[in-house]
Amino acid sequence: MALKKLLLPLLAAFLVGALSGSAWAETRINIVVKTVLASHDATFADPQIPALIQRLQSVFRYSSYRLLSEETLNLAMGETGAVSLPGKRVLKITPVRIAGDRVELRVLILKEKQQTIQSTIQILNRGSIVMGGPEHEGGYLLFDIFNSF
Amino acid sequence: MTKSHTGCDRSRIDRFFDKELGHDEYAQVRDHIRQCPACQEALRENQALSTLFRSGLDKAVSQANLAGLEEAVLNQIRKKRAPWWRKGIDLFASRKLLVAASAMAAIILFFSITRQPAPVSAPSAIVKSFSGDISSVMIIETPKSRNVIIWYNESS
Amino acid sequence: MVSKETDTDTWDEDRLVALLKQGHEGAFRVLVRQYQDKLFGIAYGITMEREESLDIVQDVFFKVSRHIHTFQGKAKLSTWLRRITINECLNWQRRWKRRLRWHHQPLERDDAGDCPELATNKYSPGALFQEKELEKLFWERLKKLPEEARAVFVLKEVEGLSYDEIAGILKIKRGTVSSRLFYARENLRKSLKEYLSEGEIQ
Repeated sequence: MALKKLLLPLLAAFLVGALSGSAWAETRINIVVKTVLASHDATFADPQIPALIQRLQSVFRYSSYRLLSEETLNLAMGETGAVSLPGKRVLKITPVRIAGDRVELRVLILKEKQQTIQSTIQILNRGSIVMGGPEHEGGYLLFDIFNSF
Repeated sequence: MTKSHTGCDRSRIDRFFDKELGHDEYAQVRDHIRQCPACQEALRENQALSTLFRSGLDKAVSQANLAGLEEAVLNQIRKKRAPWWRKGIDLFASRKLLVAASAMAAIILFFSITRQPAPVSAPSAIVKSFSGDISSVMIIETPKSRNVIIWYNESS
Repeated sequence: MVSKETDTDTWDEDRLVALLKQGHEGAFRVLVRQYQDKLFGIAYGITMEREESLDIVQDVFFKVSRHIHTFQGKAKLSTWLRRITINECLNWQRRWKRRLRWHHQPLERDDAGDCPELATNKYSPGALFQEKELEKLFWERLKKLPEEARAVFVLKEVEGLSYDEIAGILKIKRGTVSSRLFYARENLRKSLKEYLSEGEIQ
């Protein structure tokens, strides 16, 4: 009888411990995807993306950078998030694992439902990578993928 | 003077425009131009090119921040000239250092509190694999911040 | 604080060079004031990048300060300055191209950069639009010229230098100056032909 009285609290404690343990282990990755159109057609620096433009200008020589869209994903390990991109493209991101201070992401880009790009990238926490550049409307698309966890 | 001798030679018209012809040749070409609409047009075109260039350049010069250039050059020269020990003494003796150091401490404190990312000593991303329906790919790292860019060309 | 010495316009080249060799700060101020506009014009004409042109001009003056002791006066100081500027511009372009090792069309297109801003003038909106387009086109075409031809064109147009002077700066023959200048103008004329009709530009 005494054992039965103890069983329920013990079971409850076990469940709480198990659940909180798994919740603690489940890191969610915050991902922000910015889609930028770079072109020579105009002289324009989008005020929404000054830091990104500064990084890009150290390599590229486009005269115009325009933010087309920004989307945020919050993904668990193994969970896939999708972001619509211009030109009937879709960007799919799946966090695979944490490797030290980096997250390993599986990145797919599909165009008209056909896979065009597949890549595995390890990005620093609070770091980003830029992928580009499909031609689009007289310019080139750049996708800035930023993550934090 | 014969027309065929000083005929419509564009390079000679250019040298006329630039006043690079000898005295006699200059006079011959000048007389030819007076009678040749095509060469008159060539001169006008050269003038138009000069005007376009000059106009754009004047705007660029007026928009450039040349005002600070003199001090920037002088500071650079002074820095280079100071012996290393002098540079150190000057640095520590300077009151400005105290202000700068305080400002720097405040900035460091601010960023540590707000948890900004530390200065990058490693590339922002490591590309473990990259494949697809592409004709070319280039992986670039920006010089200072070491941000990684993957640039690819979709196959048409 | 600028000394009274730097206010004078009567510095001749020999005196200026002598004082520069002594490290006279006032002489450096005079040097910068006398040449910054001209050298910026040359740098911008070749690189077509405002910020880079400022950096190049600053580097040129700094180089002069370090190497003035090697200047023997065989050529004019202005020739030497222009030569250093041209070399810095061409080196800048080569460094830029080396950084992008693979050939990839979007990155090879170096016709972006600082386009001169629009000017307001007395023309009608239609004429203003045409002039704006023509200016933009002109600078795009100029940027597409080979470096050597563009350098000659820029030196001619920025400074009004003679063929012999340009030849001295670039260390090429006078005939080469003439042919490169002709090539530059011919290219520009052909690509802008429809716009360069009588009465378009005044």
